[in-house]
Amino acid sequence: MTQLIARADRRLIRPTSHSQRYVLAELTAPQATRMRERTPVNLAFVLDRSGSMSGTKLALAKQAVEEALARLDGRDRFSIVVYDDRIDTVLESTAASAEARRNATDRLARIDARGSTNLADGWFRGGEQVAAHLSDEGVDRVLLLTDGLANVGITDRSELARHAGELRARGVSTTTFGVGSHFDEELLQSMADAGGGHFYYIADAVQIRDHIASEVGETLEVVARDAKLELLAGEGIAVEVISPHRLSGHGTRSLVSLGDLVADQVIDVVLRLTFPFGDIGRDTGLIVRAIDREGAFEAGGLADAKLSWTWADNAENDAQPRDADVDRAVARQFAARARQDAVKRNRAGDFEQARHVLGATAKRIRGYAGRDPELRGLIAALEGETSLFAAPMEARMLKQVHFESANAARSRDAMGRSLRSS
Amino acid sequence: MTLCYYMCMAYDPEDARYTLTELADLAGVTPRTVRYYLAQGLLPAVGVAGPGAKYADTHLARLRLIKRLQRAHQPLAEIRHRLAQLDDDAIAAITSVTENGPPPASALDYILQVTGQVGPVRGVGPGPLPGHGADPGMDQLTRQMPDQARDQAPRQMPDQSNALVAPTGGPALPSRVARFMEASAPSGPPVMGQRSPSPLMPARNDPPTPPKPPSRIGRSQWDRVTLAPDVELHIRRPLPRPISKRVDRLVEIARELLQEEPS
Repeated sequence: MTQLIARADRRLIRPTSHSQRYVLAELTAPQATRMRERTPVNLAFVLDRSGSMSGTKLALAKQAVEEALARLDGRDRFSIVVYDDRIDTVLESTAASAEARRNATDRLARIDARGSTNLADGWFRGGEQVAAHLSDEGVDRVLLLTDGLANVGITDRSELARHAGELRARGVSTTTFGVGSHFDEELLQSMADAGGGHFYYIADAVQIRDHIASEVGETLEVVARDAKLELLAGEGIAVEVISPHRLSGHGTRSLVSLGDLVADQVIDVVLRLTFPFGDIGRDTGLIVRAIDREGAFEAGGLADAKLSWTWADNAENDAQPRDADVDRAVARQFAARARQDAVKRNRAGDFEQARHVLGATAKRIRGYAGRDPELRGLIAALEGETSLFAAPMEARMLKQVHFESANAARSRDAMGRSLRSS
Repeated sequence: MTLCYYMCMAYDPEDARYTLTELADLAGVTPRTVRYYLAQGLLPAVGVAGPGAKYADTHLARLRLIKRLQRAHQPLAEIRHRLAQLDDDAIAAITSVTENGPPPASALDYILQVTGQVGPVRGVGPGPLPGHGADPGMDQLTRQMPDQARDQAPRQMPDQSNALVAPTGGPALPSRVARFMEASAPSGPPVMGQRSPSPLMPARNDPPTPPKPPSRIGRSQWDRVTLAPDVELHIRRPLPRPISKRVDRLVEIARELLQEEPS
């Protein structure tokens, strides 16, 4: 059942201290409606066919695409692009009829692995194919798969992420798949985040089909497109997002982007609010509202969530209770950040820093953990990991840690799938 | 924050970036006109009079909207009434004044330009979103465009720009904005295919330059980067790329250092 719940870690704020407080907003997307037909999808599959993909990797990727196509029908569109240092459109965007799908299989069979990796242009070509047939109502998305580093064309991470964001704002989302140990997960993660899609780490080629199937399956189950939380904050409150969601707007009204949500999906957003000074006894507050492109939340009659805080003296502040669930959600976010940070530093050979960031985060959580078993467990885990990160780690392990932490922070399971309410 | 309750306008001094002359240039009006609108309460006051006064994107967006409404022969009283119904975000959405610059084109237009398949002239793009009016008489809103590469001459943007609509396929405008746009649409057929393209990206092999907000050409400007609720770093851009990367790292470190857990 669709619902929106907002909770605060503490409800009292200090009068002359710019208090910081945390908010946990839990949003559950509506169920799939049996009455309405599912919305169509418009996808581009963009596959790396650089030399390193030769052998099983490319074969399994092709197979995964074919299997995914089997889930589409004439309402949907798909195209296939392959890239190495040249870009080839294997199949221009077409309705997913049975014949088109057979055609795709034939053409894919002739593709083999060759040159270096122009990821950017391969991705843009897929983007063109999708953009030329933007749907009114469905999901328009590029699915980009690679096993290596972008070494031809635009290679700068922040530039590619920026383009992904620009495309997202214009209706085309991007999901990325990284296969093996040598691709750049920071690049793929940031393209997926900015692109309003998801990133999947595929440790072994045999898993390609599961991840592609899962992603395509989810595009077929989207119930709320371009979902956002609209935040209306009291005068002078500064809002930041701690979970890795994009925040736009400023002042009293801001928006948190959540991407496309699937039926029954549950997503947690963690905010940090910094309050202005205020007179003891006065109140201020926050209203949280869920919106999406077609108004699915509104149509479902979802009510706004409202929170209020009261300015109170220091003694009352010191004595106030805490909402443990919010504390846990906050701690999990910071732990996930710390781990992803530690991964980057370990890869860069910065072992001391990698250890430090984990230890420092554990220490800060200890400051409010009290006797809470989950928080204490988290502290112990982070502290345990410091020794692991103090020495060079295998590429696979680093990618695995990144993937798990990134998923945890985004309310996704270990395989990168959306979390759903029962 | 100076809040004008009556007019529902908010001006946050942190966003101030333009002098009166710069603001007037960007909006295509005279400084005298800007002062007039300030006096009439159509633009939020900035609290500091005289040459030190600085204005924000919200002023620019409102000026553009006022111009557009005037072109549609709306009297000042009516314009004031319309403005009062909209907040900053709504006005920005209508006039597409965002920190990233000029009005965006469609996804396809964007890709074609980035990949160099279409030159820097008006492209044929999809028309306005259904239900929204277009504005055939729109001026050169974007006379001064950001430089994409420092050694390139400033590009002259085409005459028409379709700044009215949100990007096709993008998030729908809030309903009150949509109603506003319908109400202010001049009669006549919507203009199709007239849109000003996004700024070009440099050729692939050039070092990528970040997009700059609509600003004075040839002059550098100061960016403010928030490090923590009460701490800012001021950076004069454009910066040479190696330094820019080090600054990014500095910001990362500083934010981490200043970040606090609940206490």
